[in-house]
Amino acid sequence: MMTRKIYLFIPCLVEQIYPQTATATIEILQYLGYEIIIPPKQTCCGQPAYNSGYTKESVRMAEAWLQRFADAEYIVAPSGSCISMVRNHYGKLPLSPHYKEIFEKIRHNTYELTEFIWKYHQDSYFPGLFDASVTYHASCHLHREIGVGDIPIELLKKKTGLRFLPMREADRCCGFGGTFLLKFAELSNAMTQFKVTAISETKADYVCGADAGCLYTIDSALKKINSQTKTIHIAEILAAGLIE
Amino acid sequence: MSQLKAKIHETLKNESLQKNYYQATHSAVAKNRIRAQEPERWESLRQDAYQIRKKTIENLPIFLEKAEASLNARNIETHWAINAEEARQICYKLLQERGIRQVVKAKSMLTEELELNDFLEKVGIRALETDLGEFIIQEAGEKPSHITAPAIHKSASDIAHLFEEKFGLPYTEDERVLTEFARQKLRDDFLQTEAGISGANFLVTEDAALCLVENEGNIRLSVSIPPLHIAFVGIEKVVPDYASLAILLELLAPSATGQDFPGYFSMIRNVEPNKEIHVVFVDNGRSDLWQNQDFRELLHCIRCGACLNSCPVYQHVGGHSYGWTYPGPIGALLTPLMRNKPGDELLPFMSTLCGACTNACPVKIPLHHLLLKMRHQTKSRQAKPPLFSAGIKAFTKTMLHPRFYSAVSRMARILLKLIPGENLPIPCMNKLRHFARPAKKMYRDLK
Repeated sequence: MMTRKIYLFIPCLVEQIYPQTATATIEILQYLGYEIIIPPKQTCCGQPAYNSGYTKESVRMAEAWLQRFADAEYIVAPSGSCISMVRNHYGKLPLSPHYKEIFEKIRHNTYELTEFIWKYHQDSYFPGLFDASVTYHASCHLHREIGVGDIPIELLKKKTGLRFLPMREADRCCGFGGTFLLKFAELSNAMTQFKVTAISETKADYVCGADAGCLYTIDSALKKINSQTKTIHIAEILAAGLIE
Repeated sequence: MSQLKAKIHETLKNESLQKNYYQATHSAVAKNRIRAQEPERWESLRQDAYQIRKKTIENLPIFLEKAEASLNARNIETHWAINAEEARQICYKLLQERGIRQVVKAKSMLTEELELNDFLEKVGIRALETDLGEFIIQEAGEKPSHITAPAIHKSASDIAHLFEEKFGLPYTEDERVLTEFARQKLRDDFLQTEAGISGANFLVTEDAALCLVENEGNIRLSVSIPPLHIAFVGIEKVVPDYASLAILLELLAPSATGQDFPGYFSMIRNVEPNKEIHVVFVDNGRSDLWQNQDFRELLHCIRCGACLNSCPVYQHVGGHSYGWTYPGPIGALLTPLMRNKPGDELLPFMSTLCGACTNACPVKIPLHHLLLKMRHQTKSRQAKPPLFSAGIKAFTKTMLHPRFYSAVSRMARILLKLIPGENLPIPCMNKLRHFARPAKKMYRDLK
C-alpha cells in the first residue's frame, strides 16, 4: 500500500514560539505511518486580520493559504483555532471562484491533530513515559467550533505515567481572543487570572492544551506569578518517549 | 481612554461586584438540569425552537396582522408605536384620559428600552416597580444589570444597606426578611393603583394569548388587580401557536435561571368585566433590524439571558459596562444596531469570540459569528484605530511574502538579543504578563 501523505500546517505561533510542538506533531503522525509534507511557503491562516474585522486582508491571506494547500489529501495542524478558521470561516469570505473551488475540495480533509488521531486511529497507543500530573484546558475553538469534546483528555489518559487532574470550568476562555488581548488588555488579563486560579487549584505539574495561542496567554500569566505549573502542548505529551 | 474602557476598569477594580455577577450567573448555568442530564433532548428542543423562531420572524408581517385581529376579536385594544416617543405618548394618553397618577409595573426590558419610568416621572405619574430586583434598583436609582435578573450585581449585604438607608429596616442579610419587607410594602401598592404596566414574553397569535413568565407573582398581581392593563409588546414577540409556545417555554426558564419551569406562568386571553387591556406593539428599530438580512436573526432572541450567564466577559465587566438596556453578547449586537451612539461600535470587539454564548442560546442564534460579522462591517476609527489598522496591514503583507517573513523573524531575534531580560519586551504589557520570547530558531530554521 502507498504511504498516505499529510500536509502539515504549522501555525505561526508554533513556528515562532513553540517549534517543538511542530516536531512532536510530525513524530506522532510519522509513528501513525504517514508521510509528512510541509508546504514551504505557508505562513498564517489569516485569523488575526479576520477576527479584527479586516475583510480584504483576510481574503488575501485565505487565498494564499489555500494556494499552498491546494494539492493536499489530508491537512493536519496542531491547532483547533487555525483549523476552525479554515473550515468554518474561509467559506464566509468573498473568495474568488478559483479559491472557492479549492476550499470546497479541502474543507472536509482538514483536521486538528487530536481530532485526526481520534477519527482514524482511535485505538492507537503512543508508547513512551510521561511521568507527571497534567490538567487540561479546553480551548474555545477546538472545543466548541471543532467540537472535539473530551477526545484530548481520552488521549492524555492513555499515556503511560500521566496522572490526569481535572480543572474546573476547563472550557472557559483563557482571555486570549487574538487581538482582543491587546485591545482589551485589562479585561483579557482578568480572564486569564480566572483561568490561572483554576489551574493552580489542580496543583498539576503541567497545564496541557491543544492551541498555542491559549498556551502562550496562560503561560504569560503563570510566569508573572512564578508558578511551578508549566504549559505544554498535547502533541509534546503524546510524542514523549515515542521515538527511542 | 474610551467610556467603555473606563467602565471596564471601574468594574475590574471592584472584586465583590465581579463576585456577585459570577456567582449568580454561574449557578444559573449549573442548575440547568435538562441540558446537563438530557443533552439530546436539549439539543432537539433548541433545533425546534430555532425553526419556530425562523419561521415566525420570516413571516413577521403576517403573524402581526393575525395577532392584531385575534386580540381585537377578544376586545383587547391594539396600538402601534414606531418609536419610543410614540410608545410613551400612547401610554400617557391612556393614563391621562382616565386621570391615573400612579401605575404598578411588572418587570419589562422593553419599557426599560423605552425609558418609560423617566418619562412618567417627568409628566407627574408615579411608576412603582414590583419585581423584587426592579424594586431594589429603582430604590437605588440604578438601571438593570441583567435581562432577567435586574439586581444581579447586588449582594444581600448591598440590599441590606439599601433597605436600612431607605426604609429604616434594621440591617439584616436574611434574604427572607428582606423579601418579606418588600412584599408587604408592595401589597398596598397593588390594591391602591389604577393601572398595571407589563411587557410580554410571548403573544400567541392563533388565540390572542398574552404570556408572562415570572417567579414572584408580582406580574400576575400587576396585570390582574388594577382595572387598566397596558402591555408593551415588541413586534418580535409573536408565537404562531400553542405547540410552538410549549417548546419555547420549555427552554426559557432553564436558560434564564436554570429552573425547570418558572414559578408563575400567566396567559391572559380574556378581558374581565370592568377591565381594559391595551396592547402596544413597539417597533423602535425592530423593523429596520428585520430589513437587515445580515442581522435579522437577532429578532429570534427570546430575552432569556443565557448568553449573559455563559459569557466570561459579561461575568467580569458586568451589565452596566455595555451602556444600554441589553448587556452581554446580545447587547453587544443590539446596541450598535438599535441605539448606534458613538462608541457603541466598540462593543462587538469586546469579546474573545469564545462561542460560549452561541453554545448557550436556546434558539441557536450564532451570536459570536454575528459579532465577527459586525466587526467586518464597521469602519469606525475607534474600533479600528489607524495605527492598529496599519499593524494588521503590515502583518498581512509580511505573511503574504514568506521569504520576507523569514527574514523579519530572524532579524527580530537578533534585535531581541540586544534587549536584556527574559520576557518579550512589550511596554504596555509587562505590568500584566510575562510573555516568553520566541524560540531560539523558528521551526523552518531548525533543520
